[in-house]
Amino acid sequence: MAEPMRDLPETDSAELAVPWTGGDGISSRGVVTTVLRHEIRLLVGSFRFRASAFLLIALMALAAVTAAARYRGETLAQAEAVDEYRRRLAGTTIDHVVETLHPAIRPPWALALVADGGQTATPDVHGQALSALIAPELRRLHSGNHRLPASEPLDWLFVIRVVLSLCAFLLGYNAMCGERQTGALKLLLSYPISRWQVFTGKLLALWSCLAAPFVAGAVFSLLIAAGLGIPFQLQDLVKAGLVVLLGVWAAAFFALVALLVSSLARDSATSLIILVWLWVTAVIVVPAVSGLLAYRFHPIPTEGEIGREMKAIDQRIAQEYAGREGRWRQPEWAATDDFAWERISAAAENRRFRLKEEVRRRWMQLKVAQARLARDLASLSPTSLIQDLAERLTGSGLWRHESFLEQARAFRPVLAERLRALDARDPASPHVLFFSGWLSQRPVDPEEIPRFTFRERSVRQGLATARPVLWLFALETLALAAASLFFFSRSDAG
Amino acid sequence: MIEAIDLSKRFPNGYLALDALNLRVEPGEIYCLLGAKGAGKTTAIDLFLGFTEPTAGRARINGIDVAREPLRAKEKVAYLADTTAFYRRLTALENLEFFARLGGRRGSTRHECEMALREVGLPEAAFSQRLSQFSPGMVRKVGVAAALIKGAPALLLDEPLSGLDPKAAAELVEILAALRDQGKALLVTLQDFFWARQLADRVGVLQEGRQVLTRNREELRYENLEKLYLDYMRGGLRGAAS
Repeated sequence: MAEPMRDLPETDSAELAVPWTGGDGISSRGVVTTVLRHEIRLLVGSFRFRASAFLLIALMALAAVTAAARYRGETLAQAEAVDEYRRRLAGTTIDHVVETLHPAIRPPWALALVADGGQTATPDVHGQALSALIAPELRRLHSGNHRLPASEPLDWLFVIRVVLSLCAFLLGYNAMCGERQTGALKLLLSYPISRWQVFTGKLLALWSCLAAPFVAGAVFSLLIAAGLGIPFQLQDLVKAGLVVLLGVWAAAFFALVALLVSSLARDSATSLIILVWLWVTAVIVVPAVSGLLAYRFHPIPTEGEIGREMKAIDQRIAQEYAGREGRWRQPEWAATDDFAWERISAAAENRRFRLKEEVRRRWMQLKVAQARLARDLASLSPTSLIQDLAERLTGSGLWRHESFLEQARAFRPVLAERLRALDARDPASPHVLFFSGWLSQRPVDPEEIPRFTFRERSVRQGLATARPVLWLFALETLALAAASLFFFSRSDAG
Repeated sequence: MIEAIDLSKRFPNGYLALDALNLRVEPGEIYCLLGAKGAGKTTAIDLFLGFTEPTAGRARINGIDVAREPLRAKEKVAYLADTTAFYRRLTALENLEFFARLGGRRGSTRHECEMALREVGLPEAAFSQRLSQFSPGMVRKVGVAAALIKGAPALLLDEPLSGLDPKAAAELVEILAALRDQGKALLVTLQDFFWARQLADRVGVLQEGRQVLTRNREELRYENLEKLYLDYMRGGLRGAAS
């Protein structure tokens, strides 16, 4: 029940000159803007922000310098390989050309500074001869020095996954619980403002303080790389722009994680410990465990097993051809029965080659499938999901490696068709395809030999491939935003 | 006006923090809620600010039910606590400007903030100093300045004198009395009966969530508040008062 009022005596007091009355009121947008400006002022004035911004920009600049150096090295190595190939073709005959290894070279990856995706580690040359007696070779032209300590490639994706996430956690770990500890949050919420407005203002401020140095670093990085000689095409710049947008999106995601944990934690120290634990799990543990699981549940044959398969193919050919394979006579004797024995031997060798090539191809597919499984499992971690998304958008990573192998293999029939046509022009040729000593002895014009051209993934193809992962990341972001707002709305004010 | 009608709060773990609190603070009045730690004082303040929902009863600010219209109610009330530390890396003026904007002040905010800081007796040299360099008393003055500039008719002060030296506490008491003279309604929680006697127009004593005693200034003249309060703290006279 309410108490009855009583008359009260006067009390001694100081005098206030101004009769303070209420303000004019503030709109919802005005509250968010006020909180946003205030939070930006607090963040920008902190050492944490300056250190984070410097780290982001410096690492992205370093990524540009290292990528440009690698690009230059790879370009030189590939130019040497092309010159060597041209020298080998000069003055040669059709008969001789079938034993030449024709290199399908994957060009240096201009966007290695954006999303390396293992391009500096996977093979970039696939040498194939038309003769079934010469095994194809898959290797790296510019392999560097393996004795140097190995490190993860420094690219924008490394910066987003490892550094941007860490900066978000360091800048945001005490955004809520720190103010709860100092009593500032309670004072803030004693004003006629909603919690969602406070949350939105804080989120936008943290997001801006992460996104601004990242975007600045990206622009700086591109300028450095272009200045150091990486010839960016318009398509490359569009892809780089998409990764910048992804980085800005990732910054919002990491900011939401920081705010969620900060809302739930009782104090700043607990919040920081939880965020560091999450960071280690997402960036180190999940990818490592994914690789281990993929290795365990999607094993690939060993080299010994492959060797045994190859031997089995040899035995099979010997059985199928019952000793009629490998019978090569002097050409003048062979001509007497229109090279009948040699044609059988050629068919046996071509069949052996096709069967062995199938084994090699399957082995490579298993390796790629294992890597894909590891990547899919790692996508449970948002940082790995972001990496997958960026590689799909840019056409880097596993896709570029797989696409190169497919395109290189598809190049062999093109080469074979041209050589077949060139050989057919010579009536003196025995036309035993494609075996040196049994083909045209006419010289070949090197310009008539087709060259391999690698087709990069277009922006449109990248967007189409990335669509399901984009949806998944969007759903994760929305769920995180809803959870963060929900828990902040229900958290203790102080 | 600040009003509690059978205001109760029981936490999910079953703990009854506040049990049917009834009080009414009129404009131009200071009501002191006295009680030991855990008596329910801060819970009562939290209910008036809408930080927590009452399990029974109502909290009203200027006739507005806080649980139903928390934002409208918050327009009419200013808050200050001993734990309020503001933003230590910002200056007094920057802190005040931020809260002035949140309170809906536009236009000449800086001028008004300076006036408010002068009103609470903060030295001019301290206006542009970071709060990390301030003593607790100076921080508390900034808090009062923030409350002034909000211009709310009701003030809720949770242990405002806690941790202050006697001089700073006396200065703050004077300012609070001046606010009362301007017609503000002040609900002040305290643990110290000395300051309650100095400041209050009426006093209520809380013990384990229950209001066990109320006295007005006139009644306090003829009673030994210290003895009454200590007796209640020991629990010896529970149920015998009011």
